[in-house]
Amino acid sequence: MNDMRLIDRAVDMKDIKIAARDVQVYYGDNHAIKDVNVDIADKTVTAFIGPSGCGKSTFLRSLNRMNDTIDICRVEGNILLDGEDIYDKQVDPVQLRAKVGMVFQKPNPFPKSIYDNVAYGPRIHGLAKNKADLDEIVEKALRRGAIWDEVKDRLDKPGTGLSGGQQQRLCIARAVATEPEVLLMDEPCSALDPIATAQVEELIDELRENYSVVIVTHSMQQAARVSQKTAFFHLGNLVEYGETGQIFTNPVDPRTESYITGRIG
Amino acid sequence: MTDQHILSAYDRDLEAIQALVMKMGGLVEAAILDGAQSLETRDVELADKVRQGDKAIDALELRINEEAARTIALRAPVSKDLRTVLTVMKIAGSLERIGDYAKNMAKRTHVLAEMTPINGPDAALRRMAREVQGMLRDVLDAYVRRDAELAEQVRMHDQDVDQMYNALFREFLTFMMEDPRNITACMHLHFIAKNVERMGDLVTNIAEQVIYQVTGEIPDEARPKGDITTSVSKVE
Amino acid sequence: MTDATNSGAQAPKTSLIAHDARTKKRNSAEKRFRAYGVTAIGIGLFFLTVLFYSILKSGLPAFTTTVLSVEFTMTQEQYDEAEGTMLKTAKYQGFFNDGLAAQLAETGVEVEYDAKTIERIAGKTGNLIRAHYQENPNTIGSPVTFDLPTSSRVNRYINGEFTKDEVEDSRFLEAADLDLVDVMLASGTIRTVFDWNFITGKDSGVDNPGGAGIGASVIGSFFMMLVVLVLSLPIGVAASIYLEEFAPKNRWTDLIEVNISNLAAVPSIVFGILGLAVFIQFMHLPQSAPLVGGLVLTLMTLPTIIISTRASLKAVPPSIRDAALGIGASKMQAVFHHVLPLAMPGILTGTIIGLAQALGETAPLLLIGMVGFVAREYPEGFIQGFVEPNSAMPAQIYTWASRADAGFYEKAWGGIIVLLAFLLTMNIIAIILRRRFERRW
Repeated sequence: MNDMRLIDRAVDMKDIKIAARDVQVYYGDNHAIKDVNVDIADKTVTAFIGPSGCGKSTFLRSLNRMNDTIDICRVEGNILLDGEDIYDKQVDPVQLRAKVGMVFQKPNPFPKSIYDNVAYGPRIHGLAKNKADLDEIVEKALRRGAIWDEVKDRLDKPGTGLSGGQQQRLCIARAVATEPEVLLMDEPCSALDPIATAQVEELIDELRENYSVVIVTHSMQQAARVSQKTAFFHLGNLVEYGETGQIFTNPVDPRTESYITGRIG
Repeated sequence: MTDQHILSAYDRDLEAIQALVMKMGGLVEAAILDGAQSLETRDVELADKVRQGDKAIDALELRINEEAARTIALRAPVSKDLRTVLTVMKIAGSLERIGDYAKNMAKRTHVLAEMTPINGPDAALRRMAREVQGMLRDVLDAYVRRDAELAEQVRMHDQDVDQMYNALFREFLTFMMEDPRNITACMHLHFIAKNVERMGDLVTNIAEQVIYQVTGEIPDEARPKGDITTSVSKVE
Repeated sequence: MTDATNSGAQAPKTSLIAHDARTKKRNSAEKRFRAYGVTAIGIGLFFLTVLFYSILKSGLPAFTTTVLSVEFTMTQEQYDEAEGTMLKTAKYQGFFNDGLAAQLAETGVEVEYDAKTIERIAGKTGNLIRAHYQENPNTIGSPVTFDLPTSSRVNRYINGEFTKDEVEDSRFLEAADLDLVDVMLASGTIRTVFDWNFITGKDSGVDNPGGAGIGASVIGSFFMMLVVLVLSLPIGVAASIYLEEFAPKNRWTDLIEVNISNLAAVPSIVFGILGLAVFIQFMHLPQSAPLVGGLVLTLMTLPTIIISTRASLKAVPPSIRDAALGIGASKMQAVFHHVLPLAMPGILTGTIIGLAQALGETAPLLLIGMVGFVAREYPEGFIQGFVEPNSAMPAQIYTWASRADAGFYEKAWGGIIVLLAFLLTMNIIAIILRRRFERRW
């Protein structure tokens, strides 16, 4: 009994999903991310925290090359997904994004039916051979998104008619439907009320079984609640990266301490 | 109203930390029983085992405190959950003290084993220890079941332990007056009796924490005290 | 800190019920502003009402015409006799006059009149009557009711545009004729009927306002709009999508953007002269053809469509694009699957508004010869519809308004009503489309 671990927060760092090496991100002349080195583990929730403008979202978006859509944005250094550099010339960002799904701050379902929302990804990636296949994928994704029971009777209703929390879970289901390996979440709960937030957090915790989840959040409490690893960004630097319990009870860097105790913003 | 948190990991955390407390309680119960047994039979080996076992109890207390701090830091508990975490820390503290007293009993067993045995008080001490162990078992039961009534009963029960201690106190005085060679042994036995009485007080503290955990209020009415030795000057 | 709160506490207490001077001033300023607004809207509505009233008042008579309704029977002998003479139509006219006289006598008319009077009222009727019997010989011997159009002057008199006293006797009309007109009106021999010929008919010569119709030029406008729609919608939408979604943001795209905005503000006559120079003089396309008109109007409409399309593309929240890209859609899939459907109502509305604007445009048509062309014939077929000279609604209206005969003035107003009806229909379609396709996000 003595070996009974309390909450399974122990992080096995053997499986590194994403490795960032000396990553620099520039917005025009602005050096937004400086020398970031980080190893993101598989089947783990990793939280990025830090004050506004610290670069955590920028770094997150560079993990699936969403920054490519911004003309003035430039990324240097290496980001390896399973050992392959995602900024390699031969990498097609579209293919990458199918592997590294993303959920955004504001729930953004397509103004289509719930079914079509989830089915869109599998359709464009040709994951389903026929209608029955697609139905199965949609159901599985909605179940993983912990929203199946709420929507199974209204799959043909527009996704925009759901409540904020349901919409966000639908967006997560939509992201899951393309069978990604990594899920990036950019402040997924900032537009939600506490109960919806709790539901999404519970969902994130469940997703950990199958995916590597990276979440950017403004709420330190949220990072504390859902993540196993926390990275603190400040002024474009990765200040501290460690086990979440350690970061929140005994941070090493004085800047981390000041931030999580509400002394610097 | 469901008793579950939406975030199930939170429930798992709270359950795990309470399981640690129960585990610690079990170890302490065993330490009391084994301590009393070793005393009665002057079993030095068993006494050593109790002394060794205290290390595990101390480690558990440390662990519980760490986990409680962690839960406060990561989950920001409020209301009932906050009371759970707070009482867990206090209960762990009390249990650790009880464990220390049990260890102390075992230590003194070593000394007593080399002296001429005094008949009579050993059995009474053992009964007293059993009584305390029973109270501890009940209070842990009350904690698990969130049963404030049972906790209140345990709290009232402490009076009996106090009375047993009073009786022993008088007995020791008599022994010492009869034969001054008994004084060393009786002093040790008296310390043991006093420690067991303290254990009873600590169990009462735990009972109060259980009541606080359930109702949110610390019982404030004075509990009946049976320890009158502070006013005893001489034996009639 | 404590000092500040202390000084604040010393402010005199005010009641919420009594308004202080500042509040009163603010409230009256607000009331004044509201009054300005209501006045402005009132003035606008007033002018709109005046405009509509005058258009309807002047234009509605163009949709009606007055006819002289006479029933008489022509016997076989009369027919043979008339066909046997030299002046056949005069003979027919004589029979008609006899029939009319009989009909008038029945109702007991006591006004003096002669054949000349009837000719001034109904024009030379013999032609129409002969044409009828030539085509329908089987009606000989049975009673036939003839509705013969009255002359434009009588028509205008009946519409109340002048009174008997104002009439100067001329070979077209004498004041005395109007007595007979009054009597025939009262007896129902002269009736006012809806003039389908105005809607569907062709333009007539300069001296026959009564026979002029807007139909041919509606067809001209239709072919022009077809050209505009087929060219400007795909070109405009493609250009906007490229500029908005794909083009890099640099000095060149900025320049293009500025130029598109400038083009939208270029006076339409400039497009007209461009069309004249390029399409007619350089490319030798036929003059006055709806094809050329359509090309010119396409140039004019493109900026409008591009601007409104870009605006509606911009209005699609970027979160939708992110969502599509985030699950691995390509840029083009994101645009065509998600952005474009959401922008569609805006694009369609912009297109229809652009078309409506083009439909009403006159100035460019002046220069490519559509104004002044007399649309006497319908196009012979679909292809000919594009290349055969024709007029267009606004050009037709302009042409009528500049003709000497006062009867055309009324036709011009009527034409404006038709044009406005088309514009209104298009705007309603735009609104319905927007309502139908608008989706929330």
